[in-house]
Amino acid sequence: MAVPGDESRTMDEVEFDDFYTTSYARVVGQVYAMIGSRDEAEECVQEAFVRAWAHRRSLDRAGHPEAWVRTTAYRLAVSRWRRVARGRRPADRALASPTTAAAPSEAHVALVAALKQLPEAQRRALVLHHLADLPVHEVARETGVPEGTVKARLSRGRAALAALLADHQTTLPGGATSA
Amino acid sequence: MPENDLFESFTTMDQTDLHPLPASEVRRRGDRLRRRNTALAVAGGTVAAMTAIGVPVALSQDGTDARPDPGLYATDGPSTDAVAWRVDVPEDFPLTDGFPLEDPDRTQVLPEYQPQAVGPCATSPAWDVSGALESLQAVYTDPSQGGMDRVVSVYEDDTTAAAALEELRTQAESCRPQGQPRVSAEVLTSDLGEQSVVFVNGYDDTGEGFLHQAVRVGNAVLYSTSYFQGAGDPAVVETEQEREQDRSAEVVAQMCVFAADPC
Repeated sequence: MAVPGDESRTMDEVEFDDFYTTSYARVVGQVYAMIGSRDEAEECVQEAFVRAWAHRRSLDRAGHPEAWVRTTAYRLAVSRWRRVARGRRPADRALASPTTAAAPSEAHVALVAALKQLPEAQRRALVLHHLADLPVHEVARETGVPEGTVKARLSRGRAALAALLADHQTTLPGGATSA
Repeated sequence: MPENDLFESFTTMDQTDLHPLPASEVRRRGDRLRRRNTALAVAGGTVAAMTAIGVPVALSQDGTDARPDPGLYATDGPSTDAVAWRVDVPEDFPLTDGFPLEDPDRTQVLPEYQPQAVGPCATSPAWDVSGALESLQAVYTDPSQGGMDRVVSVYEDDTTAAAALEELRTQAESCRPQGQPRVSAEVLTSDLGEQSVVFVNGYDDTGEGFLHQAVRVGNAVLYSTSYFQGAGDPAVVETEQEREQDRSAEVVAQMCVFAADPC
């Protein structure tokens, strides 16, 4: 991984393997929350790590390797979502077969369903802020919009999520409780 | 920072359900991708050098050399090994996918390119098809607002298509607002296809604008323009970019027929 203050340094194999091992599941979870499909999220994150190794010099200069992978995976997912939805996706070259995850909880299913109903930009802002734990200014940097726009998206996203989850007795980000 | 764990279920997923490739395999695939990109960059440089000998130097409006940097071709490009590139547009290519369906008569498919918008500097048509082997265009005319159009251009090979796209990027990045109305070109971040250029032509006096999206896959470029209002507001521009990306997603996906390893 890039050493702070040493921007010219390139990630070596051991550092990349460590970065990959420690970040993979976390980024899959974040992209999953953004796009609503875990299989697709894992596939795109996998491809993003391949690209990360191929572009590791510029990756280090960027200084935020996990953000780079997350953004790349998200963009891959957005580019492919319609093809997936229509069942035209060609045979996957990264994974041998779809994953068979354990049955998720009812609350998790409700959350995934609610997130899917939010506008893409609000969903992404919520996930980056509340799941990836990024402060507003870093969400703004990663999404390329002003901080005020991020705050507005978070506010509107939280309100919409509260309404969508109203039947699930869920405590929402920011302390509000839906009932 | 959040005060609760609404999203906890995403962080506590059972990791045994994940199937990451071994790290060594990820690096091997990354190395292979890098070798392909490097090969493309070398080939692009060779073509650029030959072009510099045979063609007068293209100058931008401010007198600087507007030819593309061959190094810029090295995006997520395909291999330049012997590839039998497709040189025509398939009859069933879904060029109009995503166009409004309320009134089919407002959509026309044109075998000859008829520019519907101006290019980055408002001094030329939006897309120059002169270097393409074949182009096919679809135009949707909105009864009250400008509408949208798409053109897919097929080139001799991927390097030629990449050069056309980088020429467009150079024009957009070097353009300075001028004329009346003043037209400004703002290049946006984009990661579509194997290479892409997205920019907005904003008309300062009116707030009107055209979003331009050019995406290359293999030896073909899909060029889309759409009219919108509120071009001075970054949030509106971002929304319009997302809308166009969404509208054209299926067409972009089907551009895989022009890839080195076609679908």
